[in-house]
Amino acid sequence: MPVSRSPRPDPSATAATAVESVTGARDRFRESLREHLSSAVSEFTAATALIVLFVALSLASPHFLTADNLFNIGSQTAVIAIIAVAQTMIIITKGIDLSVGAVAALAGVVGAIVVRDLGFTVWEATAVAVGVGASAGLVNGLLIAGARLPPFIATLGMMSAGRGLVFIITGAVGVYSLPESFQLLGNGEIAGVPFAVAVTAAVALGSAFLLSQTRFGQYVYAMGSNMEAARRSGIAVRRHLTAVYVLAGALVGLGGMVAASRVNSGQPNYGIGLELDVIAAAVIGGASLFGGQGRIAGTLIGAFLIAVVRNGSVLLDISIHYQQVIVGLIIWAAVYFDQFRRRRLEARG
Amino acid sequence: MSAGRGRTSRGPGRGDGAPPVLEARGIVKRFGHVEALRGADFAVHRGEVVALIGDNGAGKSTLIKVLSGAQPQDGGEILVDGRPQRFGSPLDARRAGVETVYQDLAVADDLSVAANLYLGREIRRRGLPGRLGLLDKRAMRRGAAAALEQLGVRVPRVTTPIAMLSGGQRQSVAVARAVVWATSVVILDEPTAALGVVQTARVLEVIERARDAGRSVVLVSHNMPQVLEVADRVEVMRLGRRTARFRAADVTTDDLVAAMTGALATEPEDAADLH
Amino acid sequence: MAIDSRTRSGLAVLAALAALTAGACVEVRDDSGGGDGGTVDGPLEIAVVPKAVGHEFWSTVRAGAECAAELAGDVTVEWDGVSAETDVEGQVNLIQNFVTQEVDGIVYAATDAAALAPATQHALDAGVPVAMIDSGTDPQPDEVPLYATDNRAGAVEAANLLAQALGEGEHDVALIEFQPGSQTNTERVEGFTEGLAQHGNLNLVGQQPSHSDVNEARRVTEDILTANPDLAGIFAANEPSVLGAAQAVEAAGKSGEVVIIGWDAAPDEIAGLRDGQIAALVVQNPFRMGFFGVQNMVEHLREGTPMTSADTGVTFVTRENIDSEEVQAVLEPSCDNPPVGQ
Repeated sequence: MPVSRSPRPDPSATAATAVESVTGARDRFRESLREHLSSAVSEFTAATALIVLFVALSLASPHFLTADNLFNIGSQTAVIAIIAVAQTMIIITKGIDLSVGAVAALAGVVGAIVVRDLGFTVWEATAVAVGVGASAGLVNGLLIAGARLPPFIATLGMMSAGRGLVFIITGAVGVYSLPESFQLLGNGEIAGVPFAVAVTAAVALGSAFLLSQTRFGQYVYAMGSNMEAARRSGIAVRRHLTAVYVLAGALVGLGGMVAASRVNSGQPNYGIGLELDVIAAAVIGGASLFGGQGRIAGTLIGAFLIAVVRNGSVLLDISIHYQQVIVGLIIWAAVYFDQFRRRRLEARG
Repeated sequence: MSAGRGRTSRGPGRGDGAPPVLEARGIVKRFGHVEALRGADFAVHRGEVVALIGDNGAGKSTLIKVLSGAQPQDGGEILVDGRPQRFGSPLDARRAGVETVYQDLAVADDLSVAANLYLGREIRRRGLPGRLGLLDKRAMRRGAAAALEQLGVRVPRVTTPIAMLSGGQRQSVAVARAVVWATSVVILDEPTAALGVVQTARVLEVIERARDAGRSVVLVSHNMPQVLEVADRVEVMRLGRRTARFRAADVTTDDLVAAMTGALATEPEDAADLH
Repeated sequence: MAIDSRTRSGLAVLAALAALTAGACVEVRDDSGGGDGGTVDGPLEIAVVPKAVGHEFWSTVRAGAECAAELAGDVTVEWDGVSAETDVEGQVNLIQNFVTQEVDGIVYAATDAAALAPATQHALDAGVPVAMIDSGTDPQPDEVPLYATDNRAGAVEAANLLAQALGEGEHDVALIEFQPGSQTNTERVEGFTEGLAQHGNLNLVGQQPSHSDVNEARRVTEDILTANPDLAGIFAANEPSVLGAAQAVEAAGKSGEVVIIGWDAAPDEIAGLRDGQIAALVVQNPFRMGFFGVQNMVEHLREGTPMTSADTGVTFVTRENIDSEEVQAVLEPSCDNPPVGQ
């Protein structure tokens, strides 16, 4: 404890600090305000965009701001949000996970197969799917933290190997003929709230708490901010980095199972290109690919922004091609603001 | 207690008879066929600031890495309070009370000042929440604020991310962090190399306060006037071993340069073999 | 996708290297007469390449191909495909690899008409005959036949079925296409809109793609239903699109109320038809595609018979006719009773 061991107080220093604190009270308030604003600027920008979009779509389509549609948007966002939360943790460590789509598909088809062939309940199958995802995450983690492969390469390999494994175990055919109960996770409701949304909320709250309130979370940011400093501070970097990938993998497995449950089948082709959607969600929400920055709240906003753009486009019957252009523009704008903020910080430093 | 100008009497700076708080004897370190340290000695006593100087390639950085546990030596021994210690990793050195501030690797920019001060030694909550890894952020904020105030380090707030601080503030935090946790020795590797005049003065002030608080400081620096300003003693390395020792009060910048280039020596050629 | 294609381009380099090293062997083959006119004795190895693995449809193509191989005797089917229909470059490489491997013939479905044309030509130049199934190339050489569904005609008929099911009066309808830009998709979309033009009482109010992903199909259908509460009918143009659309309609509590005309015949689509979620399915005969492709290729290789194109036909399956023998032969094809009678 530094307090007990800290150096003797020096009267002159205390005096000097006291003087400064009188003259600097207002400065310090301004400083603190600026600090809070800047740390939330990405989220603020994305949230503003989301609100503007909400208002615009409410005006443009009478069907947008309806309970049914909001319910649908919630369910539609669930999977991408869960997996984007996983991706955010990895991005904070200065990593990237390209394998999320393949691993989600793997978890989904395995979850479907154990229900169809072994008679598991949907909840048991969910546990299996989470386990499948965690195992894939463990392999990623060991390759990155242990064998020191760059995250891009390690997860690129997993993306390919995972997809191959999906085709091998399904014989490249969708897993169908599942009992109605298989849909509970993706299509059920609790008290009028889609089950998938409740699961997403639980995942998001838990992850936000983990990142902001626990030592593990502190280490996630520390590793992404300065891996060498973290190592020299005595943090067991390998173990913690591996744990991040395992945890993220488990969430991806959960997301894959929700997706499978939602369409009542295990789809071998599920999630191709999903990695780009979730990276976009995280980046729009303020996560920095340079590591050390990113928050769950921002990622959720990013995921919703993408989902609302797509929802609104269909409501207004806008062609898919324009939807893709719009998402691209949002990514550019979000990252531009992120860079802008960083440059301003550096200019001050 | 002065010998002729430019030459000190043999022996440690503080004649109280206690063993040096950190001592290196006859350290050998090879990289392939290159012998970076060829029987290097070094000593720092309690409550003194010792500057370690030498030309580029003299072996300063290697010696620092050995003393901080970053690179285990191939020969010779390290003693802490007179007892031999084996530093297999930075963690071993830290457990023995030796903290090191590296030039650029000291802090995590995205974390707050408080989080950096406690990085790797976080205060957790009491009871079950603590065992689950929950942080006691308030205790850390308070502890950090108190420690920084005592060391005279001024930052806007302890919750400010390091990235928002100036270079001098950042380095002061890094130094403060080492000072706070070191029970005996703080090693600083070129702590002011990248700083301006005002910022340098602040870091040096922190160093002096650390000494006043009873810590020993090892300062690696290229800046001779700075060395003479802040250090009690100076040890000079050349070609992988210690070649000279001075009391800072007794020497000039010219003497130090002479020692670095080999024109002046206080140590016997075979010093390493004596141990 | 970008990353995916980057991987593929790495593979392309490898494939090109492999092709170079094996180049000499390929040329030798010309003398053995795998190409025009000559015949091959002994065991045959025929590569059969779908647009993508992972769908019921292509598994049935495979069954047909293997059935033809079994009946012909001493023929091995080499089945391989890319994982997504959008991976055009991956399929180009795959075809090249089969040429390099010196298979006796290649039967495949082009993911892209223009992009695969050179791959076909490359195979022919190397003396490997080619037959197309499901989707051909543009241009398609005269000696290369196409065994495929007339997608356009099938989709026109789908529009007629929809009009018939909805009856008199104005009706809003939607189209769930699958892969904008792909030839099959374009043919079905054009066929359907062409068919709609003959029924002035049907208004196309929504058209969105599923990218052959059930989740995506469900999502866009949900949103179309939200935007058009009076939607009366949907034409979904392939298997994942149908499944997603049916799920969205069911989730909205409009099963049976919204008429769905689908395409293909995956088990869950058949189940949906029996449950009344789906009004009718346009069912191709993928078994026949695979069967014709391999059968004609074998005859060409062994006897020198020139291969000629054929329409493999569609069957309109409804709740009423689903249990008829003729429809069952198409739905549950088996090599004991192959649905290949002309």
